[in-house]
Amino acid sequence: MRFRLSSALLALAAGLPGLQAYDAMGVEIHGFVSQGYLLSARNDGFLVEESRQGSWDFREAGINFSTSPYENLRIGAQFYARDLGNLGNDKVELDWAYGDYKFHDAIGVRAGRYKIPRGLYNEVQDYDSLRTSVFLPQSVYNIRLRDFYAGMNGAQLYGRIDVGAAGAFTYQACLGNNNYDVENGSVAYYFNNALTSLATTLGMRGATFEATDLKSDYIMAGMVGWESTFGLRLGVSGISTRNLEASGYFYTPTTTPFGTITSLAPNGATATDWKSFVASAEYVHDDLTLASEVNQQTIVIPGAGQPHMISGGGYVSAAYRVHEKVELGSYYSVNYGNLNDRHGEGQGSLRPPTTPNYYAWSRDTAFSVRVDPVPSWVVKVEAHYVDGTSLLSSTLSDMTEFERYWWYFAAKTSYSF
Amino acid sequence: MHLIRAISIMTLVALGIQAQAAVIANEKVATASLSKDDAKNILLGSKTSWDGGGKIVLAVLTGEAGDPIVNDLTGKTASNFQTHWKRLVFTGKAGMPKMFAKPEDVIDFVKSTEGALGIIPDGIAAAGTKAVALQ
Repeated sequence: MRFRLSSALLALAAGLPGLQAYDAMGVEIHGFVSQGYLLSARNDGFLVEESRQGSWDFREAGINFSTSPYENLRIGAQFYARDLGNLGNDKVELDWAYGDYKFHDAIGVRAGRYKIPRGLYNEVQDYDSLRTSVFLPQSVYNIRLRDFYAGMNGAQLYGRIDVGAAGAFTYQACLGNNNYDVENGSVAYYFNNALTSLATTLGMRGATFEATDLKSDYIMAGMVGWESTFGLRLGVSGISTRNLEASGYFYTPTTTPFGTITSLAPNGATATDWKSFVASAEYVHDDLTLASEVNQQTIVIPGAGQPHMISGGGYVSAAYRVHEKVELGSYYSVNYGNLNDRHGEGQGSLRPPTTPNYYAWSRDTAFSVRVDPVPSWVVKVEAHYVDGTSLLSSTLSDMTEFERYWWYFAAKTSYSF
Repeated sequence: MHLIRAISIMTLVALGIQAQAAVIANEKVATASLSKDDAKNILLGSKTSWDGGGKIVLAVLTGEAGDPIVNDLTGKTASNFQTHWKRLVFTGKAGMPKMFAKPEDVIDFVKSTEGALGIIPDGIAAAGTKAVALQ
């Protein structure tokens, strides 16, 4: 039986009167637990198989321990588990665990496993209570790609250079690698989805790909930013994963007079470079937060007939706290599966040529309401109206039946201490 | 004494007058003055060491008495301030500052903790701590 971090933290949370951290012999302990509900209308295949039926397989939990044994040294670790359809499955993973030595406010070094700096919110994308919406805009923070960007193992150089009235410049530079979960991770899910779509495109109807091994040579990532003194911050970030290789099998069913036989064929794919660049802007003034980001993701796949797949998009968002305990938010997010095929005419896309053009994009308009009954407890509800189906998965639903206009809804509650 | 402090804070809040901030530090801290930028950076966890060396241990006053001061110095509302610190805590970049609902608890903490800094409403007696000029 798998240990459920979310259940353990819920039990712990039930015993807490309010927001507080545990402090045991100089070790701070913080945690969070979230449970959500997901429902789609008109289309299945949004993150879970039968999303039109609704799903409770939408939760996260984490607990961290940290201490500062010496003046400039900080060490800590966080354990994390999530369940999102067939991703995560409540498996407890090491989210981050690193030592951080700060020589000066302008220069410090981290070593171990740490969150990857990408865009405004990548490092905190797993923590529901830190934002207004249930889902971050999927054009930049595609939840199906979470494991590509969530964390990495290696070293990081970082700092913040104060320039007085001109604000401050920040930087983070990272070098390392990642370990990929083949059974529950979203990298495996991505390759399974992409290669299954490719098989369908090539006429191998019914064939599905299943990755059995994933590895990469190394990862480089970095971010530079500027923080004004009046609430504006700007940043650019990039990440490059070299020689990301997925190997596995195609399972192909064949109908014979004696029944259906499934054949296995070893196969795989290598992305010699998987890059993402994000440009970000955020403005915060009192109870108002405005943000906008654009993302471009380039996947170099040699020998696949389409060596460069460039996907991406962007969003604009606004959130306003209308009351001490109530915040409203909205965003418009546009995602293209292939930036060279924004109109869905089929050039260089993995999807079958017979599919309608609206498979090429998703234009997502979201409205969120967040309520904080007490500082440690958050409740949210959210509605999305979507034009296009690039957010939907071909491995979770029959992609030939997708309708152009559809909805999804989410509700979520989170507790943190 | 506690009653007088409470009444003075409630009066300021009731009159809608923004409380001026007073910075106090542990008596062993050598720093005599801080700029508003330094105070902001300390409150947001960007500045973590005293200029003469030594770790800054931050004590934050919350609630009706403390939130306007935090807002004045950092530009962040109470909820944004909490979110900012949770972002640091849940990515391992910092520990949560000590938070207190009453100025006297901030004073007691600063008095007894080496390297501590607290920001309280001006005009409150803080015996046993060092006054740091806010420039």
